Amino acid sequence: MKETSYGYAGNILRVDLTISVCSLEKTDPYVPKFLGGRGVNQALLFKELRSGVTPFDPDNIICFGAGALVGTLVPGACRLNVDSKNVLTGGIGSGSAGGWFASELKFAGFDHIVIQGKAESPVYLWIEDDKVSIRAARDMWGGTTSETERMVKADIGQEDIQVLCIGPGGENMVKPSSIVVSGSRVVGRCGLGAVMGSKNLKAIAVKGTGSIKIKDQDRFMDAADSVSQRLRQLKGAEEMITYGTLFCSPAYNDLSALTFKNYEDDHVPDEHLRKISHEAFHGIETDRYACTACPLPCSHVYTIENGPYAGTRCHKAEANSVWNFGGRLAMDDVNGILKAQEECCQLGLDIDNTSGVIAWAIDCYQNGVISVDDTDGLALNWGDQDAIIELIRKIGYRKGFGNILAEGSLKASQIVGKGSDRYAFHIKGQDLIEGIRSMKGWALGIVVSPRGAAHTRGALATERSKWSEAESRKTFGTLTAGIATSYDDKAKALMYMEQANAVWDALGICFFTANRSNPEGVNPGELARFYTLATGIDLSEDELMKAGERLHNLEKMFNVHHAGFTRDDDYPPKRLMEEPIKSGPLKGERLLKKDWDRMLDDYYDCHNWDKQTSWPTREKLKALELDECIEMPGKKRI
Amino acid sequence: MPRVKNLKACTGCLRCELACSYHHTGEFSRSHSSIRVNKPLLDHDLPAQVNVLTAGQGVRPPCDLCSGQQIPFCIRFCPESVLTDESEHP
Repeated sequence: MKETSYGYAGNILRVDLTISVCSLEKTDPYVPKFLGGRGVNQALLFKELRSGVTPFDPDNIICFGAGALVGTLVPGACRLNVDSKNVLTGGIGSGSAGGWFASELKFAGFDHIVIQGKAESPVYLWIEDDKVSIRAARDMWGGTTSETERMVKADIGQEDIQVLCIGPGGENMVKPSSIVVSGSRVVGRCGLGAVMGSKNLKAIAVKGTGSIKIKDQDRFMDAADSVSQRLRQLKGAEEMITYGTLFCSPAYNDLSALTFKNYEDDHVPDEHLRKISHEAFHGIETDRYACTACPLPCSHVYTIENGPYAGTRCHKAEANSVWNFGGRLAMDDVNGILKAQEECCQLGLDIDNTSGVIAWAIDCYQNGVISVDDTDGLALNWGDQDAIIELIRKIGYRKGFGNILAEGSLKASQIVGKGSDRYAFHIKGQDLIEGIRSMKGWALGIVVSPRGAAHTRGALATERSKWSEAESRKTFGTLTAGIATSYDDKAKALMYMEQANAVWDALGICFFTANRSNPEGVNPGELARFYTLATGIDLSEDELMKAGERLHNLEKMFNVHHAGFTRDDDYPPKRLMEEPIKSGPLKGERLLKKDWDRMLDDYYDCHNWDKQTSWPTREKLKALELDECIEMPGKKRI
Repeated sequence: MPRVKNLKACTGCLRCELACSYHHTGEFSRSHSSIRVNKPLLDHDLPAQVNVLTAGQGVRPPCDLCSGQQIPFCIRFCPESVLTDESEHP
């Protein structure tokens, strides 16, 4: 246990909505072992969730955590991590968002909020420094996310506060739901908005007037300044600032890694992609913004100028927006994509899982598995933006056919039957959104991710940015991290990135500032130094990465205890192993079973996990000081 | 006192606020800063606001142009060059 008077706010706020009681704990016992953010959230979840608790059970808890470096001037230190039981997979649920909420939470004196129980009627939580109240949200129930933020601010009578909230999607316990933070940033994936909805928790608002102390002030400021200036000069920084993540879609398409029409192909026709290019979006950009402390403002605001959606403002179209709506659903109009995204944002739906289940529905319709008799009379065709937007609304309100889609594509395919599971592309129950047949290390990271399909937990973006052999050797000690189609040595590079991702989330660092796709981004050695300068807790790069590995293993163990996932759950959808990519530069690529097995064996070996079960070994857990995972009353024994 | 020379470029990252509070207190805070940034995201018709305080308001200290520093912290840490310490009519 270390004294956390520097860097951390020092407190964990616990709120039991069933009995309307708030209490305080110290962050100390979890530091530095679990660092903060996602790390402490997951430690709390593992310790407190007994086996058999379902995601919507009042006994489930949902943890909100600001990273350990949030509230300081470390570039990109802005992330809020949210962790609970995953409503789609039954395993770990985990996501994060930027914005300004996390820093405000720390200024209010809290590193984490843990919500348990269920309120009798809709409420929201209002934190004003050390004053915490649970307030009625009856009038806000049913409101879109923008309406809710406005109503919360009006109810409190202050504009200059930070709000996170759910929309109708979360209220209706729609599984592809999200949590919207600071009006524009989104905790997508894992259906965490539905967990808030199941607790009758509409929003959390915070205002903080306190401060975060720094141990070694002058050296910290000099480091923050020089790293920030370096980031602005990096290759790709200008594109990131100008276009946001949208600019990387052509590079993925050039590697045949953008799915088209629900994996009919993993290459979007060039003419189609040109219509929805980053330049096309840039043409209607009306503003841009940055999260707390970030020198790379990648968030953009677009205003639709023409057509039926003219006047609609939409925040932060991401690479995902183009992959999901432009590729997977084959929409070829920037305005339609922005409108679809904005509908999701307002209804509090995750664009990845929502577009995934819609892709499943369209594919089923196109192949005669379902008809207008199943879809409330709606014809479902690829790229039909009106029908897609209509489906988004039906999902958000669980209306008609939307009630089935609101279960996510795996469950929806089980409800419909008739072989419709052929069109449900998911990993562990969470929708897959990425083209994964060509980039093998990207694929491995996405498929083995403990939270279900996810490219934000280690998947090798090094392949997209084509790291040289020298760059690969310097960071991973291997030569292949930049070679998309190679299966060799991807496991070792992935293990590094899994640890680094865990560190970024635990410290609250946005990975666009880190050495994820650009080898010159902020590296773990620099983060260890920032951590030590900020907190006064001496932590080496190796110790920091070990904390990342510990967190990854802890999440893996959560899955073992709560979802029973094994090696069988670490395989891509069968069709992506059988059907080759039809076009593009890497036409013919697929994930070969024997090569996948070899890569998976290598991956488990790197981790010292059992190759048959995929579970961490006792020795590994001991080495990571995770004794709590080895034997727990009522939980499986390793 | 730093002058706002390019408000349109403000991204709302709060780096100037945090750097300013560090100058005054050695800590990071939004309240102990001479600068208050407001970047409204729900109402885009409203422009960003960057206010530099000459007189203290509540716990807020007034701007002293970072006495002792070569470049005021708010200018040094703003990635978008929103603020300047040059006079309006050189």
